[in-house]
Amino acid sequence: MATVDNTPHVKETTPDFVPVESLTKPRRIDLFARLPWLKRIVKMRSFQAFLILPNLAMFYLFFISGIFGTPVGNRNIIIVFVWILWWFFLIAALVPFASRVWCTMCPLPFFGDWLQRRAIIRVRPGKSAGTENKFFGLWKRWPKALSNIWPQNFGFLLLATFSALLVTRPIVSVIVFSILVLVATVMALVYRLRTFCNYVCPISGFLSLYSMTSTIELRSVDKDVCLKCKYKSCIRGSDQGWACPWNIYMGKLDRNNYCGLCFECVKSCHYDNISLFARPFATSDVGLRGYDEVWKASIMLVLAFSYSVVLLGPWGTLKDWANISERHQWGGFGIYAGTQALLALVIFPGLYYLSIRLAKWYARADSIPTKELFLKYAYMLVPMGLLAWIAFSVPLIMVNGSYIISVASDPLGWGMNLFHTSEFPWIPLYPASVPFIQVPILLAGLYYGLLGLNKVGSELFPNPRQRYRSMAPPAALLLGTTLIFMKLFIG
Amino acid sequence: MNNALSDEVRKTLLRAIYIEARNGGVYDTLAQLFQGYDKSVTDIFVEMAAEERQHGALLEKLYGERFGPVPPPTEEPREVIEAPDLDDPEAFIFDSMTIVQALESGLRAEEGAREFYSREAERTPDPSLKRQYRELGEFEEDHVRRLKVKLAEKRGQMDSTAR
Repeated sequence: MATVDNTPHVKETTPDFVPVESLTKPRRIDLFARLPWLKRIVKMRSFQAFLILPNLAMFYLFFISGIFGTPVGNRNIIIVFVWILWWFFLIAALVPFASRVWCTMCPLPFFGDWLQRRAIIRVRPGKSAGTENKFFGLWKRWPKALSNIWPQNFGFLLLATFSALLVTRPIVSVIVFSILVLVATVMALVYRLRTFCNYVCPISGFLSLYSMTSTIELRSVDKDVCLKCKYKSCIRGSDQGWACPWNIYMGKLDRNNYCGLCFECVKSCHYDNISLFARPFATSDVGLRGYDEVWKASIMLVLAFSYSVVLLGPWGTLKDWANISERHQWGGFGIYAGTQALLALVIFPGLYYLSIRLAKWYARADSIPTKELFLKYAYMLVPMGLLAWIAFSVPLIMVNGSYIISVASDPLGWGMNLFHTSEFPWIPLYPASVPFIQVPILLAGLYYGLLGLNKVGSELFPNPRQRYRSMAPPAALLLGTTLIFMKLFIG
Repeated sequence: MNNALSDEVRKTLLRAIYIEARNGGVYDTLAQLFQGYDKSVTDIFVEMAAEERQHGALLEKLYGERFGPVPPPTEEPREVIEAPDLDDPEAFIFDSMTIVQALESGLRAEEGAREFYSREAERTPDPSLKRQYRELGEFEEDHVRRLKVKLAEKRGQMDSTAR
């Protein structure tokens, strides 16, 4: 088996810089070395177009269906395929096992890319500032003050708050996706590269966070080769590949967050030094680097909780408040939205902060700044959040999955019967077994959260006693969160 | 000095010349990468590229005096010695690169080179090669000193990469 030993590379860092690279990383398998055909495929210039174009055609069909099809959500393909099938597949399969591969095929930025490059397949060598490619549009720099994921955080929270509308009304889904395509296109004409994906796209925000857990990574094979490289064509592009649309430098890349797996760097690297690696789940990229990322983790975890309460819980009043599309209880909706935002933005981060202060006090870790501990220990929320979302999504697919079969035959709800399955009845799949699936998933989230905590802790505190003391308060918070989810799921 | 040894000294000097040339190219690339971002970062990389070329010219002069014209490189230098790099792979996403970090990156490269030559000087038993390594080490020491002065001027005004 071709393996690459990731010997920890200790480097001098500025005090606030989270030294992800210095953390001991598990062994990984070079997939391009083992599967040369895979490398040949991703090196094809048409690779990404082959994935995006069929997806775009599907997307077009969904739009047609959303506009002209039945307004009944569970009879319309845009609702059933996007919010049941795609969502489950994305969160339970693509993110944990294929990182941001959704971004490889995402149709939202397609038109923006096309206009910016004036090409779908070919590469255009040239000299747009900072690159070795010719791009079109104003090519402006995104404002420094907005160069973070706060816009994605607020965007996702806003969308999630109105999710009852989004996931039940086909036309609302069409409007939201149209806005996203429009914004992505306009931004590509004004700003450099994939500014929309990096800073605005609400889907990109959570993919970024949870891709940290993924079992694959795209990295340079030998970092010394990158160190000596004077072309830096992974980020600047070349006549073989476009400059990294995500604006990352592969030579020092140490986490998945902002790599959209477009594989342009595989094509452009002068030294053929980029490869796809398989690695263990949730134990490699364990460093959050900013408050925006910590709040993203908090927002995602709280939303998983909030959705579980509203959609899976027994509280009818809460369901009515959240379901603004049918109940129109604006007062109740205000309470629901306000409480959700308060929990995600203030209460949960506050509890986490409290656990960090307690950790510092209990471990007598005065030499470590609170900010550093706050950022580093926050990784525990990442696997926990992802697995809580998967646990929440299990009943969605098991209970509502049969709609996929009927809607496939009648995508617009017009009475068609393309595959003779339009009359397929709604049959929940073993609903009684759902909690038995959810509980192990939650426990896995707890396990990987604690594993991450221990990994970061072992770098910060060589003394095991001090490490365990520092881990105790955040671990208690994680355990408490798991128990609350369990109570919700088991009833 | 026997012929084999003389050739070793020549190769050492030649390697240093090629490394300076390569690093000049790396700084040029880094400067181009930061076009449209922080101008002070672009400027400092342009400045460092010019300095590398100046160092290269001095070494070439030294080589010319001892061994004649510098032959064109047949391959890129394999050594990592003195290679400057971006420390933060996400610096462009978060627009977080500062002039201090740019200088720190250069300083790390120069310090690495100084340590390499000083280590080699200790290791080699031959006096002429030892002298050559020491000379190169002193050369790098001078770069380190100058970068430290610049860094001291800029430090304290800038923030770190963590958001």
